[in-house]
Amino acid sequence: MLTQIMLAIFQILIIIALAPLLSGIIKKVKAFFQIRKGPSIFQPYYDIAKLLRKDSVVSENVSWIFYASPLVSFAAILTAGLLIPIFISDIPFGFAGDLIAVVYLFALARFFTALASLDAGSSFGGMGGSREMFVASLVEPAMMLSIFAVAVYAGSTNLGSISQTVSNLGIDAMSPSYLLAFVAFFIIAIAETGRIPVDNPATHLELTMIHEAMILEYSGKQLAIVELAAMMKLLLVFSLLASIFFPWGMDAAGIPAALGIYLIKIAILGVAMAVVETSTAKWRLFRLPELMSISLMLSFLALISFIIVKGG
Amino acid sequence: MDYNLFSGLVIFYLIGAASSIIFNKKDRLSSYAAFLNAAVGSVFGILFSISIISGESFNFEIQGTSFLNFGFFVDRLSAFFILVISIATLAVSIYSTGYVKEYFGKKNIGYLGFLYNIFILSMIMVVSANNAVMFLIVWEMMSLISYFLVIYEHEKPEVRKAGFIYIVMTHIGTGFILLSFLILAGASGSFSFESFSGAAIPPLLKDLVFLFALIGFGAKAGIVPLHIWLPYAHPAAPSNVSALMSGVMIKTAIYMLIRVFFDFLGSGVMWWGFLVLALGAISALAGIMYAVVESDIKRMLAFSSIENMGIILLGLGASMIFFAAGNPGLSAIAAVASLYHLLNHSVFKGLLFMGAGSIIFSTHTKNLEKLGGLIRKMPVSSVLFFTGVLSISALPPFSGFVSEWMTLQSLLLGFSLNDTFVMIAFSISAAVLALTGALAALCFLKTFGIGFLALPRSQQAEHAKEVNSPMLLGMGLFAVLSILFGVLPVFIIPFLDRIVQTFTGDGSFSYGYFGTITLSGGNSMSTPALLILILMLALLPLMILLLYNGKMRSPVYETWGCGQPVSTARNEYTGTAFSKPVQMWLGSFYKPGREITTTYSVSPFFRESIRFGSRTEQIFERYLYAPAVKHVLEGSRKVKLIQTGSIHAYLAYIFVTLVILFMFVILGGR
Amino acid sequence: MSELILGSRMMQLIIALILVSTFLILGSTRLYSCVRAFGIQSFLLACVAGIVAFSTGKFDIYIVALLTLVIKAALIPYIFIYIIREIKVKREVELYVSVPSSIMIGGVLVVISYYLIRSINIMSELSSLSLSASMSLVSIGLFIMISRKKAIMQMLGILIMENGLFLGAISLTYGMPLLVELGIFFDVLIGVLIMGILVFRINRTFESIDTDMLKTLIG
Repeated sequence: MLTQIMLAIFQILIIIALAPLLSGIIKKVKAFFQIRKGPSIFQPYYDIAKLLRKDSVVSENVSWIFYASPLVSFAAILTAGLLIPIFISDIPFGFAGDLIAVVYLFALARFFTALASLDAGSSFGGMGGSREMFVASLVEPAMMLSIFAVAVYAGSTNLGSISQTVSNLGIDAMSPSYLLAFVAFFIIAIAETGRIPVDNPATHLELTMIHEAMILEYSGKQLAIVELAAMMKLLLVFSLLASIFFPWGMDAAGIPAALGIYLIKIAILGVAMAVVETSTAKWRLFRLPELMSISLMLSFLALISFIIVKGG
Repeated sequence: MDYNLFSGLVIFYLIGAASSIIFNKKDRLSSYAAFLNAAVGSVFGILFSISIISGESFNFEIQGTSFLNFGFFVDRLSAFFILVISIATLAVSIYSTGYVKEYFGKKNIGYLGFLYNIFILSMIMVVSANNAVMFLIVWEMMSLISYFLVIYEHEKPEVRKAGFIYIVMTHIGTGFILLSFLILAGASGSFSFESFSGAAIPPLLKDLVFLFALIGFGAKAGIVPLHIWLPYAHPAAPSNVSALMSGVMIKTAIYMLIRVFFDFLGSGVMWWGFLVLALGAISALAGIMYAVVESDIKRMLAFSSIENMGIILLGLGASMIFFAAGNPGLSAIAAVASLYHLLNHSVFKGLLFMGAGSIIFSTHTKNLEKLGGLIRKMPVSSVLFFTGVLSISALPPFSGFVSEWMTLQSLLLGFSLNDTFVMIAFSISAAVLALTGALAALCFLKTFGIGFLALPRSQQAEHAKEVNSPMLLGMGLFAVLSILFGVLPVFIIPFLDRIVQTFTGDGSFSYGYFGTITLSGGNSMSTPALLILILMLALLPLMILLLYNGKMRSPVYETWGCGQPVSTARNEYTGTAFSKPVQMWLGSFYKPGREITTTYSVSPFFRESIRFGSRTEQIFERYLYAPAVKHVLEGSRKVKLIQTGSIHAYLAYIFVTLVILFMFVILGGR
Repeated sequence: MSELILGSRMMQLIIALILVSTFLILGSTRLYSCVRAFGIQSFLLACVAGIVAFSTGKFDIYIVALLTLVIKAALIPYIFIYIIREIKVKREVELYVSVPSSIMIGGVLVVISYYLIRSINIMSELSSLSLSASMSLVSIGLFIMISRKKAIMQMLGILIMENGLFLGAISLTYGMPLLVELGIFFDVLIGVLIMGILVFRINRTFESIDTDMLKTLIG
């Protein structure tokens, strides 16, 4: 029991500690592709440290929702983090929720952030919240289908057992349905974490931003928590991809080696994301249904090809 | 014991009805007499149903003729619905004692109290009737009384229109119910439900019974495309009645659907389940799509009821498919998911309707665009309403999440049937359910965010006051329940499992520490653990906030408007704007229309005012009902030829009919 | 085929990727990316042919694979890009059916193809997958021809159909006899060239390659 709790605490610390690093890596790789030097990969740590030292200025119109929202989103995302296997597949809180619960926990975090965006009464906040929820409604059906594709393939929705099943299958795991589900999931990951072409995390033009518009009213310490939560979500979505599609090397080599392998996997995914981000432009909001319908159809094809190969 | 409880329940509702009429002249006394008696009656109902579910079925016959035989039969399924009705009645009755103050001096309170009690009693009789004739009588009573409740504020023309649409749709439904019962009675030779369940019916007639029952009860349940009365009737009724109609009355149709499909018709055919599943998916999606763009709070809630009935039907359809495929265990899981959502929906929809009632009570408007800032004016109401919003948006660890999770899991379990069509249908349904869930979150985020947060958008919202304590108590009861149903599924599911065992099989759920629920596929979930984790992990950022400075008070300044000088309520985001992306995305469904009218003074260069209006189309009304009504009217015009106005002609009709009947008897007699 | 499990597994993956590339063509609104996706599709097809050649050891299938690679994955896309560049056409694909609905229809077509193949009732998991994929390619190719306005997309559609037939033939019967195969390649190439010339003519006559303009030719 005690070791379980220690493991959970260790996992939380790993997530919090690594989240800014991943953002730093992505920024650095993007800078490399744009032939810039770019900030150090530790810059996000400095940013958060700086924000934590500053006062939070709060709008006069806000209610308790505005104060509660960063805490709830942060906690919901971190709770999701406890359900995702990172360095051991037999995670201590695996019983508490499965892949579907992870999705709903992300939804909880998003719900509170979007609610806070309406609290201050600024029109830009509302714009961001509205778009965020719109993108979420586009993502959700594709997400559920790819969850189904993964779940019927691995025979479970509990992430721990998905990881174990796929690890045991080894190279045999590479089936058409898995491949299609991965592509679909990657598109979903882009939308879910608000990266280009869905949303530009670096923009500060009011008319185009989604996530940044929602958190426009936050400053200082509260902003630090919101930013950290967003970084954690990015890391966790990647961890989700890693634990479902490349769970190899999680249990075999002991925790330090598993952590190292995890770092490598996350870094590779981060580089892939940076490549996608530099090679595409941000899409117009109303072209996003096209992107998400591709993802939806790929996950549907993943299910169909599962059915075909199994020979229903 | 059961007998005493049941008669207690009936007696208290009757006393409530009678006393509210007796004290008709004294508004306050009359309201207390009506609603407190109803509350006591509902306590009896809760005790009665719990005793039935944990014990034996209840059977009570009143002697009558062989044709008309009144009696009650309450098994676990009926008892579950009595429980749902009674819980809702308890909370709504407490709420009503405060809410009807709105009508004191303006309307007849005794009349309302009388109808209210009889309405609840008729719902209880609907789910406990033991034969078809009695069922039809009480069903009709329920429909008529709810019609009178809908038109309670009949001085408003839109209320009368709503009542008319409701009564027409509900009678079309009753007609189909009558047909299906007649076929069943013809096959079994008796009108008692007991004989229906064993009746040997040829397959073709079975299909007919199924379809007629689906249409008949579907009209009451608000299944798309028979839903059109819901968005009219529910907003028109007083809010406490809407809470009951939307929370409970439409569920009685689900009760009868389960009764007919599982009990009367026995193990069904696959395509019945698929039809129910498809209708569920369509209802869920269409309902929430209309709800998203609606800015009348009560109409939005009515549309959302259609959505939730869709989700309930998704579970029910899945359960029927599993049952027809010969897998009662999985069928039980899907049925539990469906009933769980039904229970949850009656609680959070009741809560939200009461919340909407509170908003109307203190602001006298149900237009979302005129609200805002209520979280400061009505702090307690807003917290209670927020609980309902979180539950209906299916956010963990609230109640909607548990039932949606279970519905998704039961759809996933469909893959174990190894039938291609089931797999494809279930995965499409799951995608639809996911889309529905996301749109529901958007819709209720909009409602709460626009209605309660930021600055008030009108004078009414500016001067809103917190509502009185009975209203808060009624809402509080439901808010507590929707948290409990979310956090403690480990107590609810065994209870529901006991109920569905009577018509499917054993769900074989297993329960672990921390309230973990494990389904037969091995997938597990524990909302208490999630709640504890969220609460504990929320301490972490709180500690960071406190440690780094030691003070929570932050400098307060005006809202940053990106350079705009002042922020007033006029440049806040509106509800219409909030749902605009969805409206543009699904434009072919909404068929949005817009009109811009400009008035000029002197010349076209000097605009006096510009007025912008936009609206969305109700495609089912436009393309299904409008042509149908047109044809009916045309047909009636043709039939009108025989209405000559001459008394001799009428007598001649009677004579001709009589002669034809004679001929029929003579020829048939041979 | 059964002696090479790995080959069959790889083929499944490649067939899945071929489907993905088809959906990329359905989902993109730029002519260049359509052509590029078609090139990728042909390249994957060449890989399939290569695997079949390797696992059966037949020499003529290697030639077919090579021809696919050269003609379909390189030459034809090059011709397309040349045409697009020369006639300076607007680079947007104009649609009769919007992208999300095209993609949905594509998905429905895949399901229908699967049911069609299943009703024929052949066998091993690989051939049922590849046959469904080939049927899907044929039907989606036809759908692209119907739903896109530009003449170039009609050419692309017919090539996708041809790819589908090729996929079915190669995975089911290890390809047609070499002579037939050569004939087909020649046909396709000449077809593309002729159609290319036609497109030039259409463009010169109507100043557009929107096939809607051909409606004006009726008597």
